[in-house]
Amino acid sequence: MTECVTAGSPAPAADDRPDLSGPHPGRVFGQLFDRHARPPHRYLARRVGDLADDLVGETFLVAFQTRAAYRPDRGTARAWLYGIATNLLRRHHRQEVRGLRAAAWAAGSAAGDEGHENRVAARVDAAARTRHLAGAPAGLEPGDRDVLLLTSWAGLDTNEVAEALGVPVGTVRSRLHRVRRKLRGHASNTEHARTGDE
Amino acid sequence: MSDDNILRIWTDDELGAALDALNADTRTDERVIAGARVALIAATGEQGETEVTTTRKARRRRSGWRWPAGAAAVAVLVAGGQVVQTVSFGRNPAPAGAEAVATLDRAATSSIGVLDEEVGPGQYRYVATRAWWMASAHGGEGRDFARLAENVLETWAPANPRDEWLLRRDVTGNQRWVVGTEEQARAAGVSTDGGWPEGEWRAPCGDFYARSPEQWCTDRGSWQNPTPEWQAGLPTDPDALFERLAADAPGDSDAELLVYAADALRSGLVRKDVRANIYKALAKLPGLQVTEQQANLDGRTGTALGVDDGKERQDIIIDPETGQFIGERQVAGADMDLFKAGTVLAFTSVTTGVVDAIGAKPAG
Repeated sequence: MTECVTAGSPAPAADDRPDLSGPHPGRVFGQLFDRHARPPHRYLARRVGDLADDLVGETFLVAFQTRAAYRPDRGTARAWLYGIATNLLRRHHRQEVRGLRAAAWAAGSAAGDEGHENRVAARVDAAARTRHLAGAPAGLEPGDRDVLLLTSWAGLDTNEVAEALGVPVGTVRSRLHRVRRKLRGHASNTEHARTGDE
Repeated sequence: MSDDNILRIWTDDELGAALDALNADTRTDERVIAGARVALIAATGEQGETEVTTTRKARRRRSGWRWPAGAAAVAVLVAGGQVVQTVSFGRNPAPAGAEAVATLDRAATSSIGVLDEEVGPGQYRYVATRAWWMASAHGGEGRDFARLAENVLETWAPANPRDEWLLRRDVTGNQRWVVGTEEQARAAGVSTDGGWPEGEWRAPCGDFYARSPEQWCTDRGSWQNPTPEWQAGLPTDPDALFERLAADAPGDSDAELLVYAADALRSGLVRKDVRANIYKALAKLPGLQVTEQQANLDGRTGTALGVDDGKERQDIIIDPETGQFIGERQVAGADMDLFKAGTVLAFTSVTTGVVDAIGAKPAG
């Protein structure tokens, strides 16, 4: 029933490359879950709010059902799980964009409430930048948004993002470069516009 | 004013910091994590495999806000900055119910007094587990189906654990349709049988699923695999044993402690003194209540004790007069997408005996 995924080449010794193909999935997936469930939940919650509660469970159920497809020699379990989570998120693309727009709008309102005297500290600058940035991810292509947020929110490196999304690492790097350039432009334009208003 | 901000291109670090702060106020509700874990382990069918089994639909949607379309939800964002707002459930401060404590005390005493059938040299402990597991499937056009299917797992454990064990698994074909009927499922093209492995496995130490002989007898034991050494290493003081259980069970849910205790008890391999101590430790479990006085599990009756985490209730069923562990079950604690509150989602009964030969069944 289970297919041998390491035929001829033993699983790399790397820490996060468990063998999921053995017919002892209850224990193996229990360990996998204990080790990996919380960060993806947080990542999902940042992207789609309360829906994360369902998606994190679904991520692991899909992982269990497709465990024969996991290749320890091709990537870490963490990257694989984020890949599944990201796939599941695509079904909720519209919801995510609505949420991001709402967050941006809310952040904009909050920005208006703050007095000019608060502009001094660097902390405020960072908060202001966040407010200005808030709407930006909504405007990105889904693929670009995945690369950006897997890097920034999930904390994956470019190799892991490539493993998660099943694209070459060069593609990840160029997408990341493009999206950062775009966001920096967006943020400064917004800042310009907002400062100009005041 | 703020001239320095105008037209300035951000650095990558500034962009990173701004992204880090965006929607950063999320919290992970341990109840959600615990619930997802229970669903995952259930889907693995206790080391088995399932084709369509998914408890995803079974998990109740927690009430709470969805991504906003209106100002009210935005107000939440502004006021709290919370993406996920939850009340921490944690480990419930309420103690176990008095009736539950009395039942466990009686069971612990009976358990110690009962004659444990010793497994002599050349003999085997026979453990029969009759498990009814839920399989659910989506037939398209919004039609969902769910059935409880009977699995029988028989284990022969030798007197010396390093000798060969035998496991037989059988999907009996007995089913109880919980959502939809078999005819409707067939019409919708949904599989109406199978889902779990069948056959015979042999290995020392009960390591039936080890990938290679090198892995045999290397597991140091756990609540899920209560080896003799692991049992010998458990604290004998009930308070200390409770602390151990709380430390081993993941998450903050009291229900998870009972799940872990049930994992060990269900094996049929726990010694009577350890079983008595587990009962005593469970008397300290907050929120544990008698949920049914005469719970019938496949024709065997006992007292059901359970903890409800708001989504699912985990019950163990014991016979307080003999101290025997009869079985366990999971019950929907609240209405779910597919199941009404009170629906039994899975149940398992366990019988044990001593036999003279591997593969032989106890008389009667």
